[in-house]
Amino acid sequence: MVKKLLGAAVLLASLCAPQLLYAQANSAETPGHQPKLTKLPKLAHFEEAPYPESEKAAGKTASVVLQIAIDDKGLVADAVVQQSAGAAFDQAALEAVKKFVFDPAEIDNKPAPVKITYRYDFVFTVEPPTPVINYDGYIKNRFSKEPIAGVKISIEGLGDATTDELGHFEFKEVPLGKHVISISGPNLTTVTTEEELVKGQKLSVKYSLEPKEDVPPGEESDLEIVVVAPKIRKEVVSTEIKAEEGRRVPGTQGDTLKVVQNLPGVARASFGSGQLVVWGAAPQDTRVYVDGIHIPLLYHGGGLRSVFAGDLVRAINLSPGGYGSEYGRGLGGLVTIDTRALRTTGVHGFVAADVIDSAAMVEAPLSAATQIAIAARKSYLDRSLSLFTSKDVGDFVPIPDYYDGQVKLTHQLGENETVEILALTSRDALTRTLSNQDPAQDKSDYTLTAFSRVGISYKRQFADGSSVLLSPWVGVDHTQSQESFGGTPTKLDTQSKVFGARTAWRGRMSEHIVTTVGVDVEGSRSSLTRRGSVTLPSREGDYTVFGQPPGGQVNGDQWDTTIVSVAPYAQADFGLLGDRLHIVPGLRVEPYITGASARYPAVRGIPTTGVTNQSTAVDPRLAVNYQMLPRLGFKAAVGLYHQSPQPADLSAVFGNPLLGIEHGYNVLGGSNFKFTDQLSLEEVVFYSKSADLVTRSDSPTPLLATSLVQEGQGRAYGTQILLRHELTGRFFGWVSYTLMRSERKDHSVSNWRLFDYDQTHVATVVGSYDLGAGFEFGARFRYATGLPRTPVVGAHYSLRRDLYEPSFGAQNSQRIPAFVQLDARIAKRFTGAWWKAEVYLDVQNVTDRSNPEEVVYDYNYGKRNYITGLPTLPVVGARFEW
Amino acid sequence: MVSRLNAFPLRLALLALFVPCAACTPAFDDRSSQVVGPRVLAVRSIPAEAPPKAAVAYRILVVDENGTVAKPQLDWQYCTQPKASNELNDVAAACFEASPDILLPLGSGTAPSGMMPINACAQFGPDVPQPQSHSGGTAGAGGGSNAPSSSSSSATGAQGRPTDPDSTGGYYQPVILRVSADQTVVSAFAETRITCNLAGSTSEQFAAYTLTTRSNENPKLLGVSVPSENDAELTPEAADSPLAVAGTSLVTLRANWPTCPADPICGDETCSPGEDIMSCPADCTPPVKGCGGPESYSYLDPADHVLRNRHESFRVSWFATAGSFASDHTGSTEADFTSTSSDNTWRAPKEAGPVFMWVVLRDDRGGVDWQSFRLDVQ
Repeated sequence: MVKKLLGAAVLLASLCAPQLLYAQANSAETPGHQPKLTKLPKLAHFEEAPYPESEKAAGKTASVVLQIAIDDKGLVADAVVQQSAGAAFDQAALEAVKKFVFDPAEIDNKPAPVKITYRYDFVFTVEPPTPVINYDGYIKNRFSKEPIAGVKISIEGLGDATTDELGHFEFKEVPLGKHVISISGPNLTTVTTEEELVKGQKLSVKYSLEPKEDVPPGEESDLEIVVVAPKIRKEVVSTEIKAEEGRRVPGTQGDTLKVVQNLPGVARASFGSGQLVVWGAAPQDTRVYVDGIHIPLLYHGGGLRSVFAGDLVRAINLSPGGYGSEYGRGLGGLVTIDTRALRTTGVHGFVAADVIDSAAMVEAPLSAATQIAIAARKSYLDRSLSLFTSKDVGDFVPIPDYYDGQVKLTHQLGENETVEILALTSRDALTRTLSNQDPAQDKSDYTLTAFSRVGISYKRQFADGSSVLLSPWVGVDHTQSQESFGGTPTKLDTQSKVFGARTAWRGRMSEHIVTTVGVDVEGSRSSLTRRGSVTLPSREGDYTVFGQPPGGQVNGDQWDTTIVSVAPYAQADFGLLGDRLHIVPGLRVEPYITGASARYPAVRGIPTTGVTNQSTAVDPRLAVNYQMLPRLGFKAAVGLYHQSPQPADLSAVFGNPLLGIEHGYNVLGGSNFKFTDQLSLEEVVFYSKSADLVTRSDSPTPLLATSLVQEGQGRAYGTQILLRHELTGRFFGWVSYTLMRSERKDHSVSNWRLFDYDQTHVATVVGSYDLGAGFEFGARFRYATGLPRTPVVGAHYSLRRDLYEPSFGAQNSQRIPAFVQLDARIAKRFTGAWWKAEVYLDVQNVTDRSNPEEVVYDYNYGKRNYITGLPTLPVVGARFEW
Repeated sequence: MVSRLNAFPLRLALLALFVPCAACTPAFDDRSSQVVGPRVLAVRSIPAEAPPKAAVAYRILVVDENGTVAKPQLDWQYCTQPKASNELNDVAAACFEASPDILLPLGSGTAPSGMMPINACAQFGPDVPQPQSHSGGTAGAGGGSNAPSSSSSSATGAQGRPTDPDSTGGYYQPVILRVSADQTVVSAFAETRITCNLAGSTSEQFAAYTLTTRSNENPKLLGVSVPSENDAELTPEAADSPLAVAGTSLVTLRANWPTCPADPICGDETCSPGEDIMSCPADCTPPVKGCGGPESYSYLDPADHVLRNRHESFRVSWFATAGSFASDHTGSTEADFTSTSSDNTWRAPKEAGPVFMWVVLRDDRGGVDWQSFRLDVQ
C-alpha cells in the first residue's frame, strides 16, 4: 500500500500583545489620549501551507513564528519570520500567511492596523489509506469496437463492478494473486476468466466480447482473452467477414455470402458459374457448412445470390486450407456460415427487393425463452425481364429461377443451455432452349439443383467453462441435368437422402491445455439415372472447347450408391509461453464405406451384383500459432485430408464402382501484423498436393466398368496477402492478393498441366465509406488472370455428322485475357424510431470494359474470338427493416 | 443474341439496365454453307451398313469454288485404333497421325472399295475389345495405392469395356481421308456403320430386333425443287441450261425424299423390317430394295434395356459457291418421320454468273446421298 502524505497546517495563532504600531501613529493628533485596542483581529481566511516536499522524508513537525502586519482592511500587509524552522518551512509559512484575511482589529472602536505574532505549525501526518485501483479495464464489442456499458465483472469472493458508458470498470485494493473473473450482462453469455495481480503492478485489461445476438451458438466463450471456458480458436488461416460488412461490399447486391468471392485464396469464378475454387482445388472439393450442416452449394444458379439468408448470418468464415480435425471430407477449402442468435425482444424483420428477386424475414420471441425467425427469397428475373423484352429472351439467355427459405428456432433450456432447430431449403432451375431449323443444332438444357436440411442442435456450457454440442441433421438433395444437342441427349438425375451428426466436447484439461473431442458423421444414399452422351457433362481436364458438340456415343445406367463415414476426432490446444504460443495437434480417423449397386453394367434379366469399398483415412493435423509480439504473430499448419468419390462417378457404365477415396495434404505458413487495432496485414504461403484423383481412363481398351480411374494428381502452391481494415466507424475494406499456380497430372505417365481453374494473379480491393447523413459509398476493383484453355490447332471434318472435330495443341497452354473490373455501390439509409430503410445502386463494371470470358471458334475452328462479359450493369434495390 | 428483343428504345434501355446475365457472343462471318475452296462434302458407303469382312464401296463428293472436283487425289484408310475414354471426339486422334500400325490402306481414287475389318465390332462395337498397351500406369499416384487405374491387363482375364453406341444404337468403322485438291490437303473422316451384335440384350430381344430392323439404307435425295416456280427442279451441275435466277432474289428451295411404308406390305418394292427373302421374295431378292426415306428401326435403350421402335431423322446440308442460305442445315426430326421434304431459302448474289450448289441428305444412322446443281444468276 502506498502511503500518501498530506501537508496540513495547524493554526496555532496567538494574539499575544498585539502591537499597536499603527494605532500609535494615528493617535499622535490627540496628545494625552491613550489609544485602546477595542477589538482583536480575527482570522477570517486561513491558507494552508503545503508540507514541503523536501522535508517529507524526515517527516518531522515544525513551527514557524512570524510577525504579521494587518492593515485596517484585515489584509496582511507584511509578514516576517521571527523564529525559523528551516528555509523550506519558513518560505511555505510566509507564502501562506500572506494570503490570510482577517476581520480587522479596532482601536477605539475603529478599524486600525496592528501587528500580531503568529505561529504556523507544520504537522506531518500519514493520510488515511485511500483505496487504490489496481485492476481496471475496458470492455468493447469485438467487432464494432464500441464500448459495452452495463457489463458486470465479478471477482469471485470479492465483489462486482459494472462498466460505464465508456465500457470502463475498475477494482480497488484487489488482493494479490490469482482470481476468477466472471463477466456477464444483458445479451452476454456469462464467461469466466482468470487474472493474476502482481505486487507493485496495476492490471489493466481490454476485453473484447461479442454481444449475444452476434455470437454463434457454441462460441459464447470466444473472447480475446484466455478464459477458463476454452476459447474457440479459429483455423490457422481463415478470413472471417461480419455479415454487416459483407452486405455492404459492392458487386454483391447486398448479399452477405457473396463476399466470399472476394476473399484471398479464392479464384474468380468463371462467368455465371458461381463456383468456389479455393487454393486451386476443384469446386466440389470445397465444403460448405451452415451451423455444422453440410450443404451442397453456396450460390444459386449463375452465382446471382447465395442460398442462405444473409440476415440470419453472424459471420462467414473461409478457410482455404490447413483447417483442424473437426472438419474433413474435402481436399479444398472450408466455408463455415455461423447463424446469429435471435433477438429476445420485439418483432423484427425486413423486406428487400431488386430486379432479381425479393426477400423477407420475420423474427419474433415466442416466449421468454423461445425465439423464431423465418426467412424466404424468390427470384422473378424471368418475369421482370418479360416486362422489357420479348417472351423468348430466356431462349437465348439462361435465366435462373430459384427460391430458398430458412427457419430457425431457439429455445433456452437454462442460463447456458440451448436447443436450436434450423431448417433450410433451396431450389434452382434453369432452362434454355435454342431451336434451329437444323435438328442437329437444336439445343436445350435444363438443370435442377434442390436441397433441404433440418438440423437440431443442443448446446450447453458448464460452470467450469466446458461445453458440449450435439447436432444431428437430415436432408434430401435432388440434382438433375438434361442437355440435348441435336440427336445427342443427356440426362443425369441424382436423388439423395443425406444425414449427418456432430457431437463435441470442449474443455480445459489443465491450465494450459484445451481439448476438443467429438464425432463427425455423414452419409448419403443416392439413386441415380443417367443416359446420353458419355462425354457430357464434361470433366475437369477434358480436351474440349466451349460450344463443341458432344461426342456421338451414348449409353445409360441406373444405380444406387451409399457413402458413409464416421470420424472420431480429437484436438488439443497447448497454450504456452504465457499463452503466446499455441500448438494445436489434432487427429481425425475416418472409416469410409462406399457402396454401389452394380459392379458391372446391367444386362436385362441378369441380377446385378453390388460392390462395397471400405477404407480408413487417418488424418493427423497440426497447427501452430505464435504471438511473438502483441502485434506480430506467426502461424503454420500441416494436415492430411481425404474425400469420398462422387455418387455420379460410381456408375458401372459411365464411371467406376470401385473408386476409393482421394487424398491430399496442405502445408502452410504465414504471419500477421497489426498496424493498429483495426488495420492488419496477413501473409500466407501454402503448398498442397493431392493424389488418387478421379480422371477419365486414357486407355482405348479399358476394362469393364473403368471409364474413370484414380490416377490423377494435383498440386497447388502460392501465397496470399490480406491487408484489412475492419469495420469501425465509417470505413472498412481490404486488399487481397493471391499468387498461385495449380496443376494436374491426369495419369502417371502424363505431364503436369495447368488446372482448368488456375489463375496466377487474383487481386481484389474493396472499400466502403460512410459519407454521413445516411449515405455510403463503396467500390470494388478486381483483377484476375484469365483461365487456361487448350488451343485448337486444326480440325477434321466428320462426314457422317457433318461437323468439324477439333484437334488440340498442348493442354491448357493458352489463357483467356485477364479480367479487370471496377464495381461501385452507393446507398442511402433512412432511420426512424422503429425502422430503418436502405436504397442502393450497385453498378457492376463501371468502366464498361469488355472482359473476355470464354474462347469460341467458328464452325470449322479456323477463327477464334471471345465471349465477353457483362457491360455496365446498374442494379437498384431497396430494403426496409424494423 | 438480342435479335428477338423488342426494338422499342425504352425497352432496350431498360434491358441494358437490368439484364444481369447477358454476355456478348461474337459473330463469325464465315459459314459452313459457303464453298470458297476445296472441301469434302460427303462420303457414301455402299452399302450404308455392313458387317465385318463385308465388301464396302465408297463414293465421295469433293468440291471447290469452281464446282465439283472431278479427279481429286485421295488416300483412303481404315483406322483400327479405338479412341480412349478421355478423348471426346468420335475418332481417336492417333488415327490422323499416319501411323501404319493402326491404319489399313483402303485404296485411292474417288470410288475405292474394300473389306470391313474383321475386328470392327470388337474395336468399335459391342464385342469385347482386345486389350492394348497404353499410357496408363499400374497404380494411382501416391505409391502403394490400390485405387483403380486404367490398366487393362490381359493377364487378369478381366473383361474389356465395349464401345458405346451412338444415339441410334449404331457402331462405326472410321475411314480416314486425305484429300488433295487445288494443292490443298483436306483432312476428313467418314464412318461406316457396322452390323454388330445387340449388346446387353436378351435372346428374346435380339430375336425381336432382327425381325424389326434391317441394315440401314442410304437415303435417297429425289431432288431439290423451287416451290415458287411451280416446283421446278434445280438443274444438275452438268445440265446445259441451268435454272436462271435474278440477282439478290430470295429463292425457296425444297429438298425432297421418299416416304417409307408405314407397314410392311409384300410387293411395295421395299424390303421392310419383318420381311426377308423367304417371306417376301418380291421385295427382298437381291439387290434388295430398301427405303430411301426415314426408315424405322429397333433401338435397345441402354438406360432401361427396353427395345423401342424408332424412325430416322434426316438432315439436309446446303452448300453453294455464292449467295447465302437462311440456314446452313435443315431437316426433319424423328417425330416428323412422315415428312418428305425440308425447306430452306437462298439469297442469290448480286453478281451475275454461275453458282454451284450441293445438297447433301443424311440420315442419323450414317446413310448419305447428295446432288449437285448449277444455277445462273442474272
